[in-house]
Amino acid sequence: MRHTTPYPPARPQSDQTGFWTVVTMRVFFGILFVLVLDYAVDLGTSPALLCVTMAVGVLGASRLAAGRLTHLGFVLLLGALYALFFFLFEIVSPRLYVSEQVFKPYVLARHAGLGLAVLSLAALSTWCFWRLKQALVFELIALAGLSVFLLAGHRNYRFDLVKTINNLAWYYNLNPLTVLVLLGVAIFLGLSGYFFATTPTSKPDFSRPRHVQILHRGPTNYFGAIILLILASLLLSLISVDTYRRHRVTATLRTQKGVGDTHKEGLSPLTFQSALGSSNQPAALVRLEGDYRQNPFMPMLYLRESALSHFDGRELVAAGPGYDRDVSRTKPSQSYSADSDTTLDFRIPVTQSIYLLTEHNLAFGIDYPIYITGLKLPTTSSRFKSAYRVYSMAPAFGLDEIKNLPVGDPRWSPAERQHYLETNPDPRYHDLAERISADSSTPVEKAFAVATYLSKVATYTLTPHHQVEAGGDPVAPFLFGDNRGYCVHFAHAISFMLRSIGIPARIGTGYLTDLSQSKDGHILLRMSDRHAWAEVFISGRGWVPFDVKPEKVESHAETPVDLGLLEELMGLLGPSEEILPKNIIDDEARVKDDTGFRLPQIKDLTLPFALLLTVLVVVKVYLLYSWRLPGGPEKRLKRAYRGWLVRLHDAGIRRGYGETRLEFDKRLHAIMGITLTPTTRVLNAANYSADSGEVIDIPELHSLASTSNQELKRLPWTKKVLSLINPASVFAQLGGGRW
Amino acid sequence: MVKQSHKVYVLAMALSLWALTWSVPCPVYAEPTDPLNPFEPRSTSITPDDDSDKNKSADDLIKEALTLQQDDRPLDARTKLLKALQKDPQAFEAHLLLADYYLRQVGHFRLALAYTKQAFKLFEAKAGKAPYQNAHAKLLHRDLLSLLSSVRLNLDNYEGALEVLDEYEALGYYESWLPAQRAWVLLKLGRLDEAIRIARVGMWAGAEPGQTMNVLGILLSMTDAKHAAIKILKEAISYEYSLGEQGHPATPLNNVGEVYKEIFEEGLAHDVWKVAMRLPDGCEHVLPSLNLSMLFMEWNDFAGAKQALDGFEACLAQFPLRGGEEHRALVHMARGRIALHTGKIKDALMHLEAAAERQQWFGKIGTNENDLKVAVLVSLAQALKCQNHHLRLTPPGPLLQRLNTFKLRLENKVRAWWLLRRARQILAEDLKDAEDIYIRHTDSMLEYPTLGELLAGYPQDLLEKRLAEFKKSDRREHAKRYYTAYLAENVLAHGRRQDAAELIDQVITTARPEYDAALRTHAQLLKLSMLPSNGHAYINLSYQIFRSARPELRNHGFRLAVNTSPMPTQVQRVLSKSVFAPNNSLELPCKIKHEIGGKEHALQISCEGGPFTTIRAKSPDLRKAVTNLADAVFEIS
Repeated sequence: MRHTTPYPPARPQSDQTGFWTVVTMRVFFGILFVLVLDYAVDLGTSPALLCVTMAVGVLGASRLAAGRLTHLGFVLLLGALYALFFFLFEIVSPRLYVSEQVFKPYVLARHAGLGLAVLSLAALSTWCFWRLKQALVFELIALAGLSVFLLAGHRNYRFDLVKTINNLAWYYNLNPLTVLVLLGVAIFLGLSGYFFATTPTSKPDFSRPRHVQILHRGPTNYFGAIILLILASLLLSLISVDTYRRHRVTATLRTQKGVGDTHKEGLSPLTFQSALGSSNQPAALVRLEGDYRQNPFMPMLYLRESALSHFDGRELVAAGPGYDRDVSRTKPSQSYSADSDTTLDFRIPVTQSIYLLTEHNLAFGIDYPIYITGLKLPTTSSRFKSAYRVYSMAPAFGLDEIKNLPVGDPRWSPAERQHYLETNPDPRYHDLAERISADSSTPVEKAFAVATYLSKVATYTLTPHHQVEAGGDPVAPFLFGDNRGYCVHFAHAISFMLRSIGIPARIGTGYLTDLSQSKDGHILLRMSDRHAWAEVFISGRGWVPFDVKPEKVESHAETPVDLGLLEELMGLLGPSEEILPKNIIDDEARVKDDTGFRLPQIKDLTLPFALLLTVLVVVKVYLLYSWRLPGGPEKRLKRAYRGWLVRLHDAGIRRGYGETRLEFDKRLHAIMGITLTPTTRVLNAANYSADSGEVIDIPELHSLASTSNQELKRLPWTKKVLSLINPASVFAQLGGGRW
Repeated sequence: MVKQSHKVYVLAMALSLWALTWSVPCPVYAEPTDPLNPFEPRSTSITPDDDSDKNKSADDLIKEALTLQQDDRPLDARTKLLKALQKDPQAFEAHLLLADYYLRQVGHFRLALAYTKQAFKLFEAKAGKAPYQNAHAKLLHRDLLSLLSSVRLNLDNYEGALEVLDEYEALGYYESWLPAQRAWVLLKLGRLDEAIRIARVGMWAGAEPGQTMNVLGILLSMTDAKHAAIKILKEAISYEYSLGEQGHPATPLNNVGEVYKEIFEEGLAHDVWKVAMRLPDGCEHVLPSLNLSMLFMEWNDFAGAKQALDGFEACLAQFPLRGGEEHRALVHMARGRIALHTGKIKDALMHLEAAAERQQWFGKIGTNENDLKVAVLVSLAQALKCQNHHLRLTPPGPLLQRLNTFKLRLENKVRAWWLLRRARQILAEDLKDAEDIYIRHTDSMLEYPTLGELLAGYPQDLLEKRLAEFKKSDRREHAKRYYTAYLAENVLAHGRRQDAAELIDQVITTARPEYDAALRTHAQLLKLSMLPSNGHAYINLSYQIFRSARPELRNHGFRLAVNTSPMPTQVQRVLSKSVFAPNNSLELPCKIKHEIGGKEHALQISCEGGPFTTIRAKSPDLRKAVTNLADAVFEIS
């Protein structure tokens, strides 16, 4: 027969402490969650209000969970809360609230509604936490899911965490995927920490039914840990998959060893497997040192890095040094000098400074460079990898003016000419080219016709997924198949077709950028600006790009340049940076970039860390020596005992859970050969009876202290130093849990 | 001392010349290589050569920069100035010129501010604190203050700008632009009466007439004095035209257009904005094009709307230094709306997401962050809802795809709900008790024909009360039908179908065929939602909408009933899960035919009486063929 009493028995003090520790932890994590949410989403109400409601929800539900309320009762209570809210804010307030502002009651209801939502969320999760054994696991799954959601590339209203990841990657010179994985690991560790912090063994253990059960002890802990491990693996793989899918970092990965290949004869930096660049990772900052209004491709600007003109039976690859002599083939760190080609008219000198944000294997610049020289890197930032200045001879003619000019360089030998005409033997290229250019009379018009044709019929996609056999023609499935491809397909298709009808062509590689997204002559190049295009040699003008501008775009939406980042980088370049004092506009309103990101610096952490350290030392000193302070004998004895326990804790000897003081005393005697039975008795008497009847001996207190000191002396010096700030012993004793 | 004063005068002259070169595009008189041409640019002898610059003094470089600037070579000029600063970091003139360059040429306001502040610092280090006895110091200090107030205004720091103007006046400085700028700043701070007073007094006290009348016109238009506003803006336009190439008539023209639109003189507004766009200063800011684009959207003329924005961006491309960043949010918003109403949901979402993320500077335009925020949030929410309708009306694919679609629809639904909730809250809380509901409110960027979708979420009592307030004070007859439409949508959302139906009919019958086309379409869509989808009334109304604004049918989740030729059951089944509702029990204007040619399904839709005669789509995959056909029918290019 079960006997019940009308009141639950008094909870042991240790349970009380554990209970409140967990509640405090939940409140802390809850507030953290609210603040993160407020950072990520424009919630439209005060975060302070939400923090308060979160704390109220956790506290209220914890108290209720410790009582006799049933699940149904709790749900009804929440329902009643919502009913009350609805009655007050949706029925009464709009009718009775008199204000000059008609919508005031609506606004109030929105604030209160959010508060209530946070409160009920906190209360519900806390209730489940205390009452349901597996709730913590689900809570962790929810937190992990939320983390994935936030990190997986959602750009909802103010979800700018992806940008944060990119910034982190950049600051630490890491691949964004690495940062994601690191963040995943950090989240995993954070969740594990949360998991173990909220499942101390001192959690309340109320044996009565309907009362808080001990949770996650024994097998449950293992269960939770296994679930957590599975979840973490899932999380990491999800993040990776999501990153690949959403941000297409394949190209980014290829840049780890530098962007672009070195110009090696017989090889091509291009591939038909994946597009050149599809991430927004910043690659370089180009600064035009002078005006270039005569740019025939305005507002687009081509920056050439390399050229591919040798047909290897399958595709166009880099030719030997005798060809494409206008290409510098220089590393960014090398100097280069060449004579300007006097046979080319309508060219003007354009100077550009190029600051590389990602390592590049080849220097690039506008059209053909005559001089490349290294530049000193801005000392103010480690973001720039290297810098150089290019003096180019840039085209300054209109595209309409070249239509009647012959193609090819009159200086070429027949072998050279043949080199630029060698093409894919598939007759379909010739047939198609002939058909497209049938109405055009001059070679240049034919070239324009071919480019225009592709612009109309081709669809730009990053994922053409053509099935090409080993050694097979990778262009044919594009040109004679579905017309889906990216710049590499377009450039090859034009080159093959033009060569097949006797127009010397090659492929230029490098960057294509939109000057309308530049500022003050500064252009931010991103990996997504990497490009390949066809070029035709026009007599007296040189190599001229004939590029496709596909009307149908399937997978790649043009993303605008981050002008905020561009401005930030501009600010890092000299000489303005050297001359303008850094904090010149700090006192001005409205100049801080809201979306800016700044990592905490060491100096930001110094003060909080010093404060924490000081607090720890002060508390530790208090715990150790407070028995010397004036006070009643019992108090002093308690303090001394506590101080002694702290020292023993530091030395690695701890009172076990459920171990009574007398049992501990016996164990100590066995380990250290000391006995404190009289002191323990006095303490027990002081705690549990009205009058201890014992006299406290001050010398005994001193002997207590010296015993523990002796024990400490055996410790290695590192532990001795650390013991002074060891937070474990402080927190173990501070709450009085061990008393 | 003499030398110093000479230098100051040269600098002041140079500054004026510098400013002039920005306001007037440099005309090309002849080939730049003509040696006998008196207009030969003086800067041809100046090269951006690093080596020769090494031997020049900072002063020489600054002089060269001025010459280059006059010859419309701003980047070369900027490089020279920076080189000058490298030589002499204390070169006050270089700081001043760079500040001006970044403010007016580049629109990099933060950097302009930094150079201005540094120029201030250098100036005060030399001349001490104000007030100054020396006339030259006064002159320079005056220019610095003017620059600082302009930079702050552009950075939307209105209090800061006013502070500078206060100091300017306290020191006894006066320039003819002062009243207009002060009035504008006061307007931005919401101190309308004071602003009007300043502008009026300014007119009597010899203020620059064009700017001052323009600001006064705007201020008056914000009160009830619309006709007075038009009158004064017309004077401002005449004045600006009288200045010839140096005038800026596009700004007052835009403003008068706004007033015309507000008083429902849409035809005049259209004409005025068209003129403004074509003027040399037409793309100095986005508003004429944006306003015209939004007007076209109200007429369901999306090609015109797109053209207006294309015109703006093409014009802006002439100024590659600027980047157009200060307008980008607004342009994205308008492009997003156009894409939305032409059925291109992906494009719409891309533009509207971009609009939500971009920073918009409001210094030059009479609106604020919250106006734009509400407008973008509402449009984005509408686009998300439309995407859900599109997904619902797309034949379902394999299981994984269905799951993905389900997930996307759920996300969209939650997000759209949240965005509308936020928009309602901002409108009510931060925009003066939803003052933007006042139809065609000058500051607002809202899309008035579809605003009812947002307002439907307000409690019925509150909205009715607020609309009654507007109706009471608003004497514009055409505005009333908008208020009626909003009320109709709200009562419909609250279940009063009968009342809603009456109000909607009222809107449909009174809407003007051309100018209220978008409102009429929206009201028709509301009515359609109340009709049973297999009835005659539904089919008739859906065809009416189909002919006037066909993307809206699919955008709002309505099916189009069509006749079908004999076709396999499988095709019928896929078709019936799409936006087309096969119905052979009635003779309908549109008919779909199906054929299999080779391995491909070919579908063809023919419609009698428009909006097109025949559209074809084909694909080896039947689902894809149906989707392609739906896209071709319900998207307008």
